[in-house]
Amino acid sequence: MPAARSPLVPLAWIEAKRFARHPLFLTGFVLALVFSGGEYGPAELDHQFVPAFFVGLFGLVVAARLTASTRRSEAVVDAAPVSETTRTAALCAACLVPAAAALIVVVFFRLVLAIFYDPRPAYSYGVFTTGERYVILLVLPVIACLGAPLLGVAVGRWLRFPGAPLLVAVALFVWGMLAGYRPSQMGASTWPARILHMLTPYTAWIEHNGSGDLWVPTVVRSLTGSPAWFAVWTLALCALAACAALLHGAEGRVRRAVVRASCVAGAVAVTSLTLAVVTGYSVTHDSSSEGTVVSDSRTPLPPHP
Amino acid sequence: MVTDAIRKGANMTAPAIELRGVSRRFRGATALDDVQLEVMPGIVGLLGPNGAGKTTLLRILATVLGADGGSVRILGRDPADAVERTEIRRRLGYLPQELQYPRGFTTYRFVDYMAVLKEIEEPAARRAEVRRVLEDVDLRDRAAKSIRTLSGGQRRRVGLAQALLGSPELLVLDEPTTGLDPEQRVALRTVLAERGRASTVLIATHQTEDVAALCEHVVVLDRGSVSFQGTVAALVREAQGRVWLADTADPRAQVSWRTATGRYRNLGEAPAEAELVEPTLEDAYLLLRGATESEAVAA
Repeated sequence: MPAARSPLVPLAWIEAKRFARHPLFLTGFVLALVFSGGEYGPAELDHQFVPAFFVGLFGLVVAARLTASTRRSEAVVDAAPVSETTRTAALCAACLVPAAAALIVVVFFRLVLAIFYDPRPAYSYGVFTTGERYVILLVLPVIACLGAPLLGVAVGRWLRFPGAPLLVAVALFVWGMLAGYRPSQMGASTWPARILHMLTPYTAWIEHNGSGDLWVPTVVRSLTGSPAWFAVWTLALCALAACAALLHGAEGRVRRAVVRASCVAGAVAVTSLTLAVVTGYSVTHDSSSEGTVVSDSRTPLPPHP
Repeated sequence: MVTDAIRKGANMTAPAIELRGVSRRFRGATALDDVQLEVMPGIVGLLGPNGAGKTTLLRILATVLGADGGSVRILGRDPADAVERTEIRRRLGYLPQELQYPRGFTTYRFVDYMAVLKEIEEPAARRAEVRRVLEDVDLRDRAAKSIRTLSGGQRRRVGLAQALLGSPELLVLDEPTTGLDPEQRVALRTVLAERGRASTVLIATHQTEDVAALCEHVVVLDRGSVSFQGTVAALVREAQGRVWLADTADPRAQVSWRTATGRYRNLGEAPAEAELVEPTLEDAYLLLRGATESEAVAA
């Protein structure tokens, strides 16, 4: 008789290998490395979008497809003793693969900068402290590349129509873009704009007047919010996505535990979102070689000379 | 394999399946109606026409579908209870009628994946078990092939391989020989006959020759109800004296067809100048079906 140990570890290992071998994931990972190996964009803090897009959003689609793939065999999979909750937990654990890939991408980018490029002028980082820079450059992309695939697992479990993963990925992208930049046009220091800017799984932290062929912008506008609390908020969103995925097919004691975990994650999400809005930068700042000043976000940045 | 069953504590004297008044409906259509069934360990054939409810019954026995009414006990446990359902699944092998496979899996990887789902976690034991079942279904040389590239019969055998994992106490197989060539069918019968010595094997099929070759007991399902339950020999006995070979088709026969010798096999009343022959299971099944049809028409 098979041992009564948890099959989570071997199952997670199988799912992780499936994730790592998926052509779409490999494509995204390679593209992220390619875009991190040259002169990506004019501002270093903008690089955070590269792993989030190529590894995170691609990972969402991959995770959803892996989750849905066993649906074809659900007649036998459902008759096995390992519960759907355990299978979902294994898929969630496999989302560490894209998170690890994101870590490789951001470390690779830092190495490329350190080896091949001169240090950036201090104003190109805006008002953000060294710790906040590392959160934006190293932590947030990794969390995004964990959270988006976790959302993909939930999508794979709950949405059964064709194209659902792609639709959710596009919606997530549009939401991130709107919440990232739209608040500036609304007047970034107003409460609705500050809340909207954080009320997203991914956001922008700077605007600048550089362009693709100009490595260094002359003016960098730092946007509102606290990167550290935003990281906690997005981690809580990761937990909520995992709970949403685990809730599908859960019953009895397990279901109650998942619901409790969702409540805790929800409370952490609300608290950290509030703190990200309240304790972070409340106004935008424009930084240049001449110094940093409080700015009106509705005023367009000066064109690059 | 017999030792497996003994080690597992398989009870060869208690019924493996007990159904009392089980019913199941789908959008107003009755798939199962007041099914009474008791299946003892051994190999049991489940016969019935298309739409008789065989697949629904097997899905209930595989614990992937609940009954609307009645009592279901499988291996002495109630599948309606989550804990007991898991216990049943630990002792169950199931091959559904239509099994599709996830994209990108090789034969070995899929069976290995199923082995993990069946809680065979220790890697060496799992590898050995996967190799054993692939050997049983003669797919060792296809282990590294993508399932997508296999023929229909080979895919069917992949499904059989996963059902055989862990030497389950109860094997529920929905048309296992579909798509298999005669040699493969004979090979499969050998494997199932071996399994039947130590466990309960329930085979739903349209192939009466498989049931005749393998099964000691047979259940006939018709319009969602059990119309016969007993030994294969008892069902065949019901057709004694009712199967005739004649030079012409008898219009009064329940069923009549031309055989390879050019003579007609007539089931039912004796035609003129006919030769009484020994019935087969197929004859008995067709006669039973004919009687059930007549009863239904009369009702």
